[in-house]
Amino acid sequence: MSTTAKNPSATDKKQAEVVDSLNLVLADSYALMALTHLAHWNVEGEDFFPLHKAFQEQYENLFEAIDEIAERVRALNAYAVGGLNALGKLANIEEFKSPLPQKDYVAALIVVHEKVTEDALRTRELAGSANDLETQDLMIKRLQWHEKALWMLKSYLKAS
Amino acid sequence: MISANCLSTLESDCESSACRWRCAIEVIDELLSEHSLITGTEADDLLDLRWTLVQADDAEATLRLFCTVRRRMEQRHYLAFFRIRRWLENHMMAAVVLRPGGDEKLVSLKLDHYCVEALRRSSLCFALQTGGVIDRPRLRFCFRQKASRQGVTRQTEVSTKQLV
Repeated sequence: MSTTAKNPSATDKKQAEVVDSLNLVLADSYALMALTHLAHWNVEGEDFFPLHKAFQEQYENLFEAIDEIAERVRALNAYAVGGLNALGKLANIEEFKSPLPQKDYVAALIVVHEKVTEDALRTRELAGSANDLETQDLMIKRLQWHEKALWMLKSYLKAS
Repeated sequence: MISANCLSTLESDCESSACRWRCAIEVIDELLSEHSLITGTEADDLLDLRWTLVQADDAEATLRLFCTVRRRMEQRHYLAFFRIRRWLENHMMAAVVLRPGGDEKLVSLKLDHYCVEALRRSSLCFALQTGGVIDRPRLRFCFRQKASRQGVTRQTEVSTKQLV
């Protein structure tokens, strides 16, 4: 589904690619937020308190990021994707079901963070080639956060 | 994500459109490249597991090796074994016949256990939950694509997602 505005003269091919890529990062981030929330609710075990708290910090960050990404799509004179079905289909992320061992929640979230990172990297490159520095800046910010989250989640698996 | 490496070795047994996990062979190769983090015995076991995955003709041996290697290494390489587990669940199944002359049901694998016997028991339980009478049941593990080619229809496929 194209989410670019009806007036084709408002955007060129490169910008349309940036918009589609941004919408993919939006869908990814939404899916990751939902799964992180699920992990926050259902995680059990000896590390319940630190994991419950860490997952909350992460889904709260993602909630704010989603709004920022969607508003960037609108600023590019295009429309943001929305609705759980559409977001799920676009993100194409394998969901996990609870209950899981606590380490499996962390490992499963790492896999989703890696997918978001991969798509955000592509968006950063597309924005760069379209000379869209604002989108590029937003993706750099998102990448920094996902890389930090990956470091923390991977460290947890190594430490325990 | 299926890697180029995976496609070159397990081409006929990978459903790249359906599998969203990193190829198990690629993950094993990454483990093997971490010389300082694995012992010689572990490297041998990983190479054996890799070989059974490339051959893709003995699912039981593959699972048996996986369980052995998992018990030995998982605590130090949890993420790698999580990825291999998920990939195997996507590419392997259990074919169950509940009674002589009965239909063969394909049951999704859930690698929640650390030995093949426990996996066999849980797969049989999943198959039983679809109904039917159990009488001298038979169960064999198989690679998903090979099971399809051997004439087991998708209509008899039972997903654990439907059962739990």
